[in-house]
Amino acid sequence: MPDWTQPAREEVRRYFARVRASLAESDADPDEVVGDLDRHIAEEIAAARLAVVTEEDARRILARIGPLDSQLCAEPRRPTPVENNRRQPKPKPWHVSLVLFGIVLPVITLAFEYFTGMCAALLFDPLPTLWHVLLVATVPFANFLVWRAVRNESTEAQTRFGWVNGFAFGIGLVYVLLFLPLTPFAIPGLIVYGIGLLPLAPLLSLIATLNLRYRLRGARGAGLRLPGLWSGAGLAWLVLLALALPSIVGEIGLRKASSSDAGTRMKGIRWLRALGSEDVLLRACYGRPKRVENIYSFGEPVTPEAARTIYYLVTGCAFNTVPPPKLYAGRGRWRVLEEEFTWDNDQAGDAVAGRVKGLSLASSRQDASVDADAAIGYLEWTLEFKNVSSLQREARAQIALPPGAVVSRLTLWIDGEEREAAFAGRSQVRTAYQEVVQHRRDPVLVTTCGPDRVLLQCYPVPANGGVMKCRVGVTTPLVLTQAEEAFLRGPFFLERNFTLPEDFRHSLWIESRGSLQAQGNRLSSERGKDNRFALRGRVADLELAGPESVVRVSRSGESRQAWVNDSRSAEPQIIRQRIVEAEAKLSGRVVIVVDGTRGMDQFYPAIAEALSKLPDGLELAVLLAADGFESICAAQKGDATLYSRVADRLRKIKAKGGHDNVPALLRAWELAAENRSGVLVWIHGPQPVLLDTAEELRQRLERRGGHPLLCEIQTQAGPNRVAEKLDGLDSVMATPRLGNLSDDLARLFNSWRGKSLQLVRERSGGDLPATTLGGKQTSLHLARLWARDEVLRLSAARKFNQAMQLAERYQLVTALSGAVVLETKAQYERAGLKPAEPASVPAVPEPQTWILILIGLAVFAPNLPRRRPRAD
Amino acid sequence: MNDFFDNWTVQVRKGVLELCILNALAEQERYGYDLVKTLVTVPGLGVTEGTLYPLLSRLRVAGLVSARLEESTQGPARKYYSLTKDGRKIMSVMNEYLETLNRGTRQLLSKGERYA
Repeated sequence: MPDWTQPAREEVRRYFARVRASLAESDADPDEVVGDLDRHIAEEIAAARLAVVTEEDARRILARIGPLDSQLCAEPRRPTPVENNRRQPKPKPWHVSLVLFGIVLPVITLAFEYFTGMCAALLFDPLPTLWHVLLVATVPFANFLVWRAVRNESTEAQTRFGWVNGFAFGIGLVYVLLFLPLTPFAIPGLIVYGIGLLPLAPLLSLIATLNLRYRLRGARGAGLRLPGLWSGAGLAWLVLLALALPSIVGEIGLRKASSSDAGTRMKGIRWLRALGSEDVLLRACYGRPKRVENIYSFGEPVTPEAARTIYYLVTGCAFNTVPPPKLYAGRGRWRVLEEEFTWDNDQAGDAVAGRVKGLSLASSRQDASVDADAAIGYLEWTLEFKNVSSLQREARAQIALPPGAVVSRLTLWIDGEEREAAFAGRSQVRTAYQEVVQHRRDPVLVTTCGPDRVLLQCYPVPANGGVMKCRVGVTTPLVLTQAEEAFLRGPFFLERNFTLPEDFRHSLWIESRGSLQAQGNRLSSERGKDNRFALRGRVADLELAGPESVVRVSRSGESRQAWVNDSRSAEPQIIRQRIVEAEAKLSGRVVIVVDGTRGMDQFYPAIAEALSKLPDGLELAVLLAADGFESICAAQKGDATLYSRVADRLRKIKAKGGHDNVPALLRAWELAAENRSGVLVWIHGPQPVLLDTAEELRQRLERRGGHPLLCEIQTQAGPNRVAEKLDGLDSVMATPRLGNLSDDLARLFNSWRGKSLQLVRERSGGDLPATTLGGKQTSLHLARLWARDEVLRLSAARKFNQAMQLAERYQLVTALSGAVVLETKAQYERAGLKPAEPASVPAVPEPQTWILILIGLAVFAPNLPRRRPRAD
Repeated sequence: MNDFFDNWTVQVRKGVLELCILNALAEQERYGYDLVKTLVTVPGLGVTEGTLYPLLSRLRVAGLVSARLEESTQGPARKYYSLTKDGRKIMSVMNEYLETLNRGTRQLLSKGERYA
């Protein structure tokens, strides 16, 4: 390496500075050029074999290299802005048409579709996500960039513009192909109505894109290729494919999962569980048959019914437990189309089905009165529905009742007046309801839909902000855990087709002569009328179904009997209730079925913990209901080691998707039936979809006559289609949920050993003197609960007529009877129904008999409903 | 008269200089120093060594020429230039164009010489 003198270095540095300055306006990279010159100087020095580079040497070498010839290096001089303006030509016609069809029309079309959702409403959704909106927006944007470059005759960054143009070409081509079937209709539409331009927008803008490319290439120079057409288009297709992937995977999975072949069906379900998009599935659940819901659908669409089942199997929850999909931004004049899409096909049917747009619960209050000594409660739930849509709506909800409870009152407010329900046979009241719904009048209907659950239907909740108010009265026995302690739990929603505002709260007020204690911190103590104890508070919907709303009632341990003079009976009779201590029979074999549905994972530790409370010496079998069933523990004598092993296994299970529990229940029934005192315990989450018939299970439970007993315990609020099919069977028992799952299971397991308290209701002749009747006189609710038991007993004995008459006489909603409120007297007469007398319905607190007589006298004439004036 | 001629030669040299660089690289890749030394000897081109490096840089930025550095045992690292696919294509088009232009020009030249 030669040595440089300082002046030599300075000489070269000055030369490089001049080079850099002269290249400032050039396309050449100054750093690169200086580097090249540096190397060139080094080569010269090496060739001259210089040991020391002096200033003179540097000057000589630089002189040989010579100065940069700016005339040869510099770019052609660009005109100044003044010259530019002077020479600016008038816009050429092709400029105008390129701006119009390549930029303005796509922007207008995109905005129109985004804000109105017209194409999505009428044909298919071209903008299913915001990403699609952005992708389509790149077309006019890219056209604008290229148009500007062409107009300015710019030769800069042409490769980049080539790519941008190719990207726009790729997006445009896909949309041209999508809208191709519309083109033959769009042209006459354009001529006749002038609106055909919108469906033609993709084609026109694609032509503009290609035209712009041709002009850009021309500006580049003859013979020079413009890169980026297919590369840009390929990139656009890759992006579109990436966006489409969830939809394509979902569509493939949906078709597999709805196959008639069981193997393919299972593969489809597993495919969707692993890769599927819940949004795609949800769209299919609300889809309209024979209409393509998004641009990636192909073939015959899967029916909404099939999609709803698949949605459950994949996600483990019902499609109507999540908000409906936002299909398009339907607004303004196209709003009707959106509502047509969400038309309530299940109106007046017996399924709650999907959430209805615009319908919500405006208010909810529960007023309860407790007779602690008689261990009876009565609760009224007043609900007010609001409908902000432009169509009349039906509000439907499945309501869980407290264990052993019965609906004993139903009221509807018509023009501010309370109208009471008629109680009659189930089919009679449903027919009357459907008839009235057809004529768009005001009815409300309550029927049972499984053990301890009823279906409430109200129609019509008036459109455009109209409200509808109704009330359901529930007579319930308290859950006795000890002689001094009982629990009251209120009704709650299992399933609903209306929404609840985010901050919605149910208002609760519970009264008793004995002291009351709330389980959680949501209810606070209050003093009621006549110095009664009271609890009041506001609870969220989830809390209404949870332990927060369970109330502990203190009672006198001495109160073991209660009675009432039954004024409802045709013959004078007295209904008595005794609290008896029954010796629990140790179950010989317990077969536990654990639901494997997603969401149950969180309860497996609680179940595992409760297993340790099982008595030793019991035979235990555990099945997991997951894609059929899986044996966790074969039937064998249990001890602490076995229970611990099973508990460990349970804790490790990962629940996926939704599962039909019926195959596991059938197998469990067989195992339990092998033992003379076998019990089947079914621990499950909501069962929103009945995947296969439960008739075989019902047959076995019905025909075997109370053995083996099926104790079902539900972990979370939600519908249970299997339990609905087991309505009215005395061998099916819902385990009351009073606290956390582990404690409730332990309470169930403990009931199989030692002594347990039972409420026994019986009747005797009305001629018994009151002095001979032990205990306290209570309200008619006792007679209603007795009648409920009697209806069950008569049904089991297949004496359906007697059972139905009894339910009608006591105004109860049972598996055989229902309650309906109609609007006019004529409607009642046509249906052969008679509404309950206002004096005969229960209230909070239940009035004494003499008050009822006074009310009866005060009523001048039968309070026949008056016809409500209607605008239509 | 001289000014007009000087301007004209600048325009002609400018037009063919880049083509000369492309053609010089047509056969094989060459390192910068060697390439520059070759081009400055082309009669009539009248270009300084320093002028060629900015042109090479411009051609590289335009994607017509690619460059790579290689360590040398005989001196500093050498920068080798070669034609890219695009460069080869444009060279071919430019050569063809120049050939056509030359043919047309020659026809006119022969007439002009006759009357000079």
